[in-house]
Amino acid sequence: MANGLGKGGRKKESNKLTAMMHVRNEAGRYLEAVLADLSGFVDEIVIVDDASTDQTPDIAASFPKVVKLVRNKESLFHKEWLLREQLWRAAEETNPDWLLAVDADEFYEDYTKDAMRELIDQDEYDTVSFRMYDFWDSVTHYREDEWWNLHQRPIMTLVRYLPGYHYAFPKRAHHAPRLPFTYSALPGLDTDLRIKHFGWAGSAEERRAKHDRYIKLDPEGQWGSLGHYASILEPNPRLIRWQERNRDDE
Amino acid sequence: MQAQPIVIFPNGGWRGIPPGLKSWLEELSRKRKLLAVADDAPNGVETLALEQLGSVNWSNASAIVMHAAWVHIAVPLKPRCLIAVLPGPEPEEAELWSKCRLWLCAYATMVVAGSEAFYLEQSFRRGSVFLMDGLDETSDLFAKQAIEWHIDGFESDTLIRLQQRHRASWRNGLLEQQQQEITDQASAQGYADGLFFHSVYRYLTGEADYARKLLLASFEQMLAEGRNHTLQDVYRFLSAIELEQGHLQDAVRTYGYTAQGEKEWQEAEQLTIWLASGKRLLVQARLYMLNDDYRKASALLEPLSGDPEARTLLVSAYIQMGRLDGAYSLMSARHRQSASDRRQWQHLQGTALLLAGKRHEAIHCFLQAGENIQEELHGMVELAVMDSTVRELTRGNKEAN
Repeated sequence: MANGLGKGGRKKESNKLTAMMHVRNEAGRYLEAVLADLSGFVDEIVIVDDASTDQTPDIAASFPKVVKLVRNKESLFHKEWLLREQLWRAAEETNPDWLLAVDADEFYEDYTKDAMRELIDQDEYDTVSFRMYDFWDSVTHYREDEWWNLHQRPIMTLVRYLPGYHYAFPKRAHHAPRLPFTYSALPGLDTDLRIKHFGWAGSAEERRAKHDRYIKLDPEGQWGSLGHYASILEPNPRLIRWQERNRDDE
Repeated sequence: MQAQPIVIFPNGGWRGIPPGLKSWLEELSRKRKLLAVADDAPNGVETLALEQLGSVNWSNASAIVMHAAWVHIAVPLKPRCLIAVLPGPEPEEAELWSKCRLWLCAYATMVVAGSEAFYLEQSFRRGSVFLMDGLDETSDLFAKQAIEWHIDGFESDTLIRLQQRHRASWRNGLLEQQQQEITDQASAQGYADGLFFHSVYRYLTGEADYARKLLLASFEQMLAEGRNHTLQDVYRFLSAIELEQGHLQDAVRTYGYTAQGEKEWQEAEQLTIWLASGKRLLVQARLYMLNDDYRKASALLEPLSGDPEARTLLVSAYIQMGRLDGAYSLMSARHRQSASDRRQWQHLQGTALLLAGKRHEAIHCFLQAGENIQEELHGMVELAVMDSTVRELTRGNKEAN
């Protein structure tokens, strides 16, 4: 294109990759490892701390790639869409090219990280979807059954930031999508590149505590499925050993 | 004034006229002289045979044309008022009737559309367009009043804005009603389209900010319903609204986001090149065209027709508007260098001559175009189809296909 841009004015080289996440009381869990991991393959990190009462903001601020850290005095936990919007606005202010929406317990497989620059330095598509694997009871196995099969469908976590495009979030108190749903209109790429989700990899006690919290927040199953909540307590779930994929495997 | 006759060119005899329109015409016949090119005209309406059309003093007569196939008969008569009252495209209709409708509407002095989609399509191509779809009595009254004023020689354009404002409010009322009824996704059917139509009305009435808000709400709703092609079919219209808001760069950017496929990417690139070289009017005009608003595009391009790039765009806009004479006059010899340009020019020339009443010259032109390429003889075949259809249209005992 005349100004060095690609199709439809899209920037196709030297794109900046910005990770964004909101966090709350994540000290002593995976946050430090996630930020260290992200620091290895993204250019910048934007964080909204939702009124943590532990060391979470200090941990976040200690990473040089965290270019913006917004601290809420009062939690927006019960208005999740507002929290998503707040994070989105904060990220917008850093002039991003591509945004990676990350949770504080998610790790991109090395193979996926290696592909990241190729995924963003192009002008064909504006969104990229990955496969999210729920690790269970350990960081060696993931769960796969009727209720736990997120990895069988693509989940969009990487998007091109298009200035001036219409971005909107559905007003959902819980389980609000991590990215504006208006991205679904734009051309996207579904990949089989993988993300490891360690949110359920802890002890049985931690999972029960999470289950109890979900039931308390959503007793009628308004924001999620009650069957899904119940499956958290399944004593013998089907677990599959994780095999790390390498570029050399091809 | 009563001495000025109105000639009806029906779409299947008097019997074929839609009931609402028929009763209005019969009422009109009690105060004005009405003639119909139909073999079943009722009492009070004089029958006029096809062969008698030449005997009418057209400088004093008005024509109400109700089928596109009349175009090569009605347009050359040059009536004082030529009012196209058309229902809008049929599903899967032949391409010939789409072309004829386009031409008839372009040459008419007023268009009355029988469907909202057709009304909006025409409003993006010309002025003096009214809607009479039988869904909203007040809106229909505006159209009927406009026809009478037009025939009487009074300016009826003031009614356009009134009808548009009324229709926008009517749309708004429907949406509010639907909003109250929405309890689940299924009952939201039609809501997203309603928002889109409402947005287009607000665009037409010059309320760009309001149009933008409605368009984005429509876009969100359609995405929530899982609809496809919303980027091109809905979101792209934001670029036209942004032009109205005076945000040219934003409009170019928005179009770029919605571009898909090689042709559209090239369009986006061309817009960027023009913008960078300061050709802002060209950018505006092309963007209006890419949003089907040929009327605004041609208004911008007409003063620039000395510039080759602007002229090329204007020819293309005129063809889309059905204004063949305009396109034909701009395609002078030096702009007909390629074989396909020459064929297009010959075809345009033939059709323009036909609509000017120069039937023999038109036939000669079609034959000339067909000398080298067999498919150009389509001009002749189409003319024969139009002639035979017109005969059918006069008959009340058999509706035209």
